[in-house]
Order: sequence, then C-alpha cells, then structure tokens
Amino acid sequence: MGGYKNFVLLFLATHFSAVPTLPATQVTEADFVTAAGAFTPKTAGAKPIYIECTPGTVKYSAPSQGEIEGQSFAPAGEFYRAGDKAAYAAIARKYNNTPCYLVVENMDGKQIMVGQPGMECNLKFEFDGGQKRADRRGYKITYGTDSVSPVIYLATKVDIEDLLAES
Amino acid sequence: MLKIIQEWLAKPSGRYFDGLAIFTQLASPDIKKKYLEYFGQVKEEPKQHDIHFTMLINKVSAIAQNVQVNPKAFENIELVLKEIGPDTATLEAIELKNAQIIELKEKIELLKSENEDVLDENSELSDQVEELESDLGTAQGEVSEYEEKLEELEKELTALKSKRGIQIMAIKDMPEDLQKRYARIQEITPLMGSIHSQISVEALHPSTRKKLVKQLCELDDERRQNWDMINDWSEGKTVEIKVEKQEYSADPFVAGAEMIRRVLKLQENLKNSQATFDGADREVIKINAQKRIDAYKAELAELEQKLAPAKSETDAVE
Repeated sequence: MGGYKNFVLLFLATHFSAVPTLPATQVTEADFVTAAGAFTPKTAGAKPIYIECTPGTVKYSAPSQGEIEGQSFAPAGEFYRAGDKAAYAAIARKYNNTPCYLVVENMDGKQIMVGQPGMECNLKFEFDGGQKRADRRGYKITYGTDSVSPVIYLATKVDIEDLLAES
Repeated sequence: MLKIIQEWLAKPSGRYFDGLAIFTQLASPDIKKKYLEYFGQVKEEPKQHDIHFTMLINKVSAIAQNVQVNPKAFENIELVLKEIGPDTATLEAIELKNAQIIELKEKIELLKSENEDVLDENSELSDQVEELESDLGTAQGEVSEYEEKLEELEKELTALKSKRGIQIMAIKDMPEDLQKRYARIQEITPLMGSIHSQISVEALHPSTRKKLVKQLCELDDERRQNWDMINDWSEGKTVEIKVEKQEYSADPFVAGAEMIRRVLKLQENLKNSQATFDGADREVIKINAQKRIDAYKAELAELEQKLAPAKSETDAVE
C-alpha cells in the first residue's frame, strides 16, 4: 500500500542541537538508509510541531537529479492542510524560509526523515481560498531538499501517541 | 545483545532506565565518566523529548553502532535490563524535598520583596537626609552670612560712636520726661501729615488755611523742640530732667493704692537708670543717670515715709 499517514512532524533546525544521522560505517544494508539517534532539543521543552494533514495529501518522492557520475536525489513532497484559521496563516508566515527537518510516516509505520544536517529541508506555503462554493480552501505546503539517499528511515521513531498526549 | 539494544532503540519511550542500564554496562569508561552523572540526575521517567532522554538515545545508538562494527569487544558481556528507577520511599522523599524546595523558594521570594521594600524605604530616607543636610548647609551658610553682617554692623556702630560721640540708646533708657516727648513726636507726625493734606485742598478758604498753617507751624516747632531735647540728651549734653510730681486722690484708700503703684514704678525706673549708669561710657550720661536716681530715691523715700504709718496701723490691727 502506498501513501503516507495524514500527519507531518516539523523540527525547526534552530531548536535542536543534534538530529538523527546516517552512520559513518555501514554494517548491514539498513545502515545505508537508517539514521541513528534522536532529535536533541537545545533547550528543555523544545518539541516537534505536529501538523495534521488532509488525508491523502501527504506526498513524498525522491527523483534523481544531477548529471551522470554526479547523481543524487531530490527528496520532495507536499501536504495539504484544509482551513483558513489564523493559526495556519501564522505557521505559514513564521516557518516560511525556515530551515527544518520533516518526518513523515508511511503506511507500514516507518518514519522517514527529510533533511539532514547541512542539507535541511525547505518549506513553501501556498494558500488557496477556492473559487466555487464547493471548492476546498486551505494551505498547500511543498517541501524539498537534497540527499545522497532516496529515503532516510529513523532508527528511533518519534512516539506520536506520547507526543500528542504531551501537547 | 544487539537485538536487545535495537529493540530498545526502536521504542525507547517510557523505558529510560533500561537505556541507562545499557549505557552503564556497555559505554566506554571515558564516555561513562562524562555522561553517567548527567544521566543519573533523572529520577522519574522523562518525556521523549527530554534532553537527558534524547542524549541517552544518541549514546545508545553509538553503542549499537560499536557493537555492530566490533562485536568481539562485547562478547563476554551479558546485557541485563533492569529497573533502576527509584523505589517508593525514594520517590516520597523526593516529593517531600520538592515541597520543601517550593516552600523555601516562596520564602525567598517573600524575603526578596521585603528586602526591596526596605531598600526603597532606605533610599527614600537617605534622600531625605541628604536634602536635610543640604538645607542645614544652606542655613549654616545664611547664619554665617548674618554673623558676618552683624560683625560689620557692630564695627560700623563702634566707628560711628567713636566718630560722632553719640551713644545709641533704647527708648526705655530715656528719662520719663523724654519718653513722653518721644511719644508726643509720634502723635504729632501723623497730625502734621493730615494738616498738610488739608492745606493742599484748593477750595479751602484762605482764613481756614491760615489757621491750619499756624497750627502746622506750632506742631513743627514742638516737634523740633522735642527732637532737640532728645538729641541733646543722647549726645550727653546736660538736660534738665523733670520728674513729675504725682498727685494723689483725697480718698485715703485710693491714694494708698496709687502710692503703691507709684512705688513700684519708681523702683523700676531706679533699676533702669542704675543700668544706664553702670553701662554708660561717658561721664555726662553717668551724671544725668545719677540725677534721675537721686530724684527717684528721694520720691521713693518720701512715699515710703507716707506709707509707713498706714502699714504700722495695719500691723497693730492684726
């Protein structure tokens, strides 16, 4: 089954002193694409921002980029948050052009990290208020980064239940 | 062993102390020395984004990597996960300590606020003291200024005295007759002013004006004469002192009372004249004062003589 669960975790790069990284030495196949460690806050209380998305709108893909012998991946995607609440507009204004890391979760429960130290993820917010009464209005957020790996799984997953229970 | 570590890393949430057990058993001595005390600060299960927890995950991830890369180094170690969390008694003690700490913090805040109040009051008082000191300084300056002025005036007075040969005296030091003359001058001056203003009225009949002019001249003469006498006396020229003879009532009781009043007045005059005599630095003033003293004494002796029979009669009745 393809697709992703309808949430995205946003980790602001400036709020975390250490983030999961790909191991320097790979022993197993999984080590090539599995980042070890945890998001370590710079100050006590810093947490990821949980963004609930419209079901079926979270997209992640990693097309190839570059020339022969210089090829890498360009992990990118988008997600949609329906509604025009002031809080959403505030998030769009605050985090536009802010380097960050994203975590999306696929339908198998594996969490994928987008962005690495030095190659953080960039967000682009767009608002569409619709035209007809039947139209949906809300924010489309597109993101993208560069990577040597098409996908980076988290060895230590973020416990979503705990995170929601905390907030 | 690796499986246990990876299982923990896959879901560490709520299992901090298992991770701490892995770290304690497998971390290198240097790393343990650096981090064990820090990780040991946690007494209750922390949240997943607690700094201690995320750092522990990072360290255990590094350990997992080491175990994968160099499994032989960890061969003889049997990893055991155990509950290292605090027991109930410790938790209760921690709660108690926390409550005490909160109480102490509140007390500290209260004391801080009280201290601030006291400091504010102190600074206010200091300001007031400074103001008062400044006022005192100003007042002292003024006092010294006045003292200097007084000294100057005294010097000027002394210079005047020596230059003009006059003696500055108070009105009470004057003989009774001159005191009356001085009082008369005080009366005459406004009267003269009044007559002057009457004369200045154009519509006044010439005969009336003539009368007023005559009256004015008389008053002016009287005033001049009085001032001349006072000036003569103050300059030490011999002035004939008139001591008025008191007339008493025909009624013996009223006369007795009047005599007693006169005796008291004479005693006071004697005292004043004696003071003038003692304080005078010119012979003429001494002579005049002595004359007055003699006159007062004579009248006093006469009165006492008159009063003596009455007194002896009163004593006899008693």
